[in-house]
Amino acid sequence: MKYSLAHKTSRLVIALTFVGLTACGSDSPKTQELTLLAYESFTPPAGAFDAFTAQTGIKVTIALSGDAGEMVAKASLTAGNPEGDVMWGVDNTFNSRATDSEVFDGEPVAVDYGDVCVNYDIAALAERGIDAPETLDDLLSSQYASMLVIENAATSSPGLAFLLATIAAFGDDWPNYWEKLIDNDVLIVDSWSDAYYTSFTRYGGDRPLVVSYATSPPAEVIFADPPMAQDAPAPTGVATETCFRQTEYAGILRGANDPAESQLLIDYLISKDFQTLLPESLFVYPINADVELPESFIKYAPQISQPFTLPSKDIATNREVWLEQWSDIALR
Amino acid sequence: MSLSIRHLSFSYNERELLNNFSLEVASGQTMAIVGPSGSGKSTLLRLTAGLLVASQGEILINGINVSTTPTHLRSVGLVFQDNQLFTHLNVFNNVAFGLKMAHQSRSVIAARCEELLDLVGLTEFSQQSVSTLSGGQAKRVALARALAPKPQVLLLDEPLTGLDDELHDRLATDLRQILQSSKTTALLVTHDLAEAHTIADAITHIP
Amino acid sequence: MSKFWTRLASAPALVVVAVSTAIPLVAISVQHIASVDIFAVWQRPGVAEALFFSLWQGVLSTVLTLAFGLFPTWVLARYQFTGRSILVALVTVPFVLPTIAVGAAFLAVLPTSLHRTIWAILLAHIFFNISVVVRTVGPLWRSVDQGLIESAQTLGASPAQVYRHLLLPIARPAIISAGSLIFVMCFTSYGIIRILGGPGLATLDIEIYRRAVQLGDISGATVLGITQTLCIAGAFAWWSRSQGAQFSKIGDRNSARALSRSSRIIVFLTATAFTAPLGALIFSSLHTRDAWSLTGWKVVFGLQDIRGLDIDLPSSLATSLLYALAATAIAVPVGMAATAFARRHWIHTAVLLPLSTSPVVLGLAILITYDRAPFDFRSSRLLIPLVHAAIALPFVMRATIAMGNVIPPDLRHAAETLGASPWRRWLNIDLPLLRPAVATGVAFSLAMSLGEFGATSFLTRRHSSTLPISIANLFSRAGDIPRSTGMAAATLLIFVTGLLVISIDRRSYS
Repeated sequence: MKYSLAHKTSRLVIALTFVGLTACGSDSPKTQELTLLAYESFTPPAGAFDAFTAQTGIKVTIALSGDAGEMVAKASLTAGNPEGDVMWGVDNTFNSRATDSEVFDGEPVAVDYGDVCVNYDIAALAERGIDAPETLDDLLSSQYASMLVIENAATSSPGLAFLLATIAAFGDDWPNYWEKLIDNDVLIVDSWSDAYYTSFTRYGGDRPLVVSYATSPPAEVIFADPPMAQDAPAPTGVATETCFRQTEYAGILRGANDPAESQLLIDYLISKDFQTLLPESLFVYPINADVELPESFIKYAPQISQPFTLPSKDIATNREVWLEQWSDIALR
Repeated sequence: MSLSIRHLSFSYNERELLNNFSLEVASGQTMAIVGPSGSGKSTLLRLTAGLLVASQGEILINGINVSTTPTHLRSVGLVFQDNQLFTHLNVFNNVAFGLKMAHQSRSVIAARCEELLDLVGLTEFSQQSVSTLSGGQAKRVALARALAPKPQVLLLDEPLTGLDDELHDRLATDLRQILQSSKTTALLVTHDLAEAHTIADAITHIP
Repeated sequence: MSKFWTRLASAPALVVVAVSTAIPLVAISVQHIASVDIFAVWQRPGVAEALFFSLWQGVLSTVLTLAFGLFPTWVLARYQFTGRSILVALVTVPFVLPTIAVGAAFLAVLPTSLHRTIWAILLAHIFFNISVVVRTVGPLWRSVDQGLIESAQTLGASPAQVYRHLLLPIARPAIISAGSLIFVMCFTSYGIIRILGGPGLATLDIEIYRRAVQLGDISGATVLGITQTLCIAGAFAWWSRSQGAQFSKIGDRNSARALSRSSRIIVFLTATAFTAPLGALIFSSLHTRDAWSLTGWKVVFGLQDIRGLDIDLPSSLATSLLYALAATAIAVPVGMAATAFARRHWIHTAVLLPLSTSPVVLGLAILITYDRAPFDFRSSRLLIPLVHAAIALPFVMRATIAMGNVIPPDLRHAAETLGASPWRRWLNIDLPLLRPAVATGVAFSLAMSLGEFGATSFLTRRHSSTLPISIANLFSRAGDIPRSTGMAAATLLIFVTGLLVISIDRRSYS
């Protein structure tokens, strides 16, 4: 029998593939390890879970699962046989869908929140001799014509949040608002980075108003290059009455290996130890009221006292219809 | 269509391939240039065709200086030593190529190709693929192709080199006959004196 | 070689395709398609438009890429000049560059009026895919005897006529082959459309993503995804019946022709077109807010820690490289084995399945297929490399076939009459001559894995992220430093990828 090199190689490859895949397959339940499923921008500082491991002896592996929407889609599909033990980062726009797909074991728990608001470039507005806007109605005024850039609600989370803000503010009359906003020459782009880094005046664009996060001004200060002077004001500001509250949740995944241990992790995620790390790594507000906000937040982040909100159930039920209607007005 | 080559010089990489070469070929005459390999015979043909540009001297066809005219406007046909037939076209379309470039009508092309294929004795091969032709047949197609657009001058580069003896002699006589009957002014290069005698009217030696 | 071994040699490739794509797709179709959706989804808003857009921009991109690409291809294939190999590298590297980096570069270099228009997309598509034309048509044109062109000239053909009546017909199989591959790439284009196209311009892939993720319509998304895969595979199978053209490097064989004036212009334009975007990217990485700054680069190399920016880039690069090596270790032997003896068309179509499948559908399908022991692969470290390998497979195979066609059969027969067993013959004769193909295959496989974003981002990763994903992360944060760091990381990725392709390709000719 002649063995060709190709034959040998092919046998070897098939064997290796299966050996490799099986051997490196998921671990059999070892109670010393938990997998935390999160969206890919979940980047807590190194050692964030050391305290947890010290307390409980359980090691935490972070599994990054695409963006928040992708993560929920995947979780819905794998409900009952999940990829991890605990999931972090379902926000209120996806919460209902997750619950309906029975993704969680029990109720998910709020872990942080943030606000999506219209940000403005202080210097650019000063140059134009205009005051900063404060409310959604302000944006319709002719002095802000051709100044606002927003994200596509159908593809971008802040874009959707802004749309939801207008729905919460104007109820069934929201299409009317949007027609006027479109008439005021608002620019719609695909993603947040597109809006912020290409169209926003702060980065070379021509629009001084952008839909972003309430925590963007502190970020601008922290990440300024060259670094800003000690008492300089933040270069951008927030229109405090245009905000939509986004709350993020974490929960034990149904079908996780050890619900009791997973619960320990959830407790840790809302504990002061962990939540202190949140503001300056994820740029969100901790749910735990005992946490002291860092200086950058105190100095530069605006106080949003009355953000717009909508019940998760409503969002889930009407999302497709709203997006369809919005696309008709805004995109076509 | 007389061909007049005057004081042609050409160097490549500091090697002098031609030095002050001159030649006159009368209209309708077949001139053979005989010389050993490396003597610059092929270079001479390429210069005449316009594929190379001489450093010195001039080339006149029918009294008109074509030294700076690009190849495709010179109306000089060239039969390559290795034929260079277009393998993506059949025999007919190879022969028709030059006429097509001149935007001739279909009927003109058909008539002329038929005429030439008849002249070279390949009428039945009209639709055949050129890759199935024998050496002698391919040479004939190359010849027909070069003659089709009625060039003012026809150049032949070692036309019979490499063909076996029997074919050689037959093709030599055929070639002479074709050139005479088409009254083409022709310049052929070869290293074989006997071949030159058979085909050409006059012979020049190149040092 | 007996037929049995011939068939067996193609088995690994089919296993890779089956495990990574075919089986998961079948599984998700069976489990998650509601039969009503098979027809209903096409009527849902946005779907028909997305399909139509995918089609016409795919066709237009292909036509334009071929039209523009044939000029530099000709010049690079037929002329010899200083800087030629650099220009070849410049033109052929974009194909494997990550869309996120190129998108950023194009946004940096294009005037604002072109942003979010179809023109930006078309330009980016041309930029990416000219490489395919150069690598497919180039070798063919390189081998055209100059005498053929000269004889056409003596027959009265002007340069334009030489092109139209000689060069184009000769290149036709290669052009068709290149065109079909370019169409697949452009039809399934995702990152470029998202970054440069803006809202309102959505391809089918984007619509699939939207349906699955934003709207939770898994069934509809799957129907769209499977249809897309089948149509592309079908169209490709139909088109590529001409085996002619494969995909390899155009060699540095010495041709003493100096540049003519028109070819000089082409060289200049090409060089400018291909350095401008990269130059813009490098500029953005060094320039923040009216001042020069090295901060972005320092963060990339781990020389400076920015509080709040906890993205470990050196580790991301290491992970990317590891995945790339693993993917290549799979793709190259498997791909070569499949082509060494078997050259049937349907294998080429089969290996194109992973590439033509929406990463969203593929990701979801893998998720639900490999979720139970003993097939619990979805958390395996080898999963991402396997998917990368599956995507790179068609290119490895094409490169191998290109070189395989070059081995003279007499050489093989001679070896056999001398008593060499088939594998000995393969080892001592075929393999050394196949080295250029191996090199091209390795280079492309590495590069494609390094730059892969869609599938990688969708599949869950337990260990460090890859570099393209870290770059995306950086761009999703506000501030000067994340931005310049993202630009620097994108530049780094381009350089690493580019250098790999160039150096391996370069050494491929003895």
